[in-house]
Amino acid sequence: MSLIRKIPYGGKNVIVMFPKNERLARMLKQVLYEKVGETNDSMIFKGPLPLDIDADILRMGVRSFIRFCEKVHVDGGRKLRKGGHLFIEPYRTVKLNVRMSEEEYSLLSKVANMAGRKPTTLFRTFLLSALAKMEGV
Amino acid sequence: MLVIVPKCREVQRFLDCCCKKVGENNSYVIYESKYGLELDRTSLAMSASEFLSFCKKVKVEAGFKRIFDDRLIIDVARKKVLTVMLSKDEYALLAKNAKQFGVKPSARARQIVMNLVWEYLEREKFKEAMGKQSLQ
Repeated sequence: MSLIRKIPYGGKNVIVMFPKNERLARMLKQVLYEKVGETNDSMIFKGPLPLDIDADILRMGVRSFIRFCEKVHVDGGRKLRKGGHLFIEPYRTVKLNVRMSEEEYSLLSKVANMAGRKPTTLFRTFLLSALAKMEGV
Repeated sequence: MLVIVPKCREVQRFLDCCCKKVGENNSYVIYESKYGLELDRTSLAMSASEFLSFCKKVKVEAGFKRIFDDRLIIDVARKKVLTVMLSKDEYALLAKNAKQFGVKPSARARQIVMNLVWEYLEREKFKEAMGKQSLQ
């Protein structure tokens, strides 16, 4: 963790230290993450968007994936492992208030119900996926 | 939302296409609409002063009207407030995108999400229709 904090351009982005893995490095570069440093056994990336890292994509078994997750350190965000998925998310500190008409809200709620999610979660998911698409991810 | 407009052939032709007519008298026509409307001065073939006096006579119930850049924008009242937590970078991405379109981040967020909601519902309708067709 101390290594991560020494990086000069910490800025606003989430900074993640992963154990070295070429496959993961290639994938991270595709999702707006840039490499900001490396050591003998780890690589450090920074980026703006939440990550969902799948054990299957990394071709790891359960035990090796758990060991991999333990070695991941996140600065400016949090990590959470659920089964074969490692979620890395920047801290959410900005509140966005969106005013909607009754009609718009009922449509959003309808779609959220269909997807089995809360309206706010669906709103966030839709918004971030669209923004990522516009950024070319 | 109820929109009460002075009788005008051009305006009525436009509103008949996108709203439901619910009443009229000698000088006004009343329309009902669930969504926002935009009336452009040039497409109504009015002079600036005619357009301004027309806009002043328009009345909106359960909504609001605004004159902006030779356009009359009529929109539904937005009473629900949805609060979404974002990270600073996510907000920066949204703000950058909103700036490109010349709107506020919250307005841009609403546009983006509501477009996706519409697409999702249309896709579901299409899937349903295709399912019914294959069953037949």
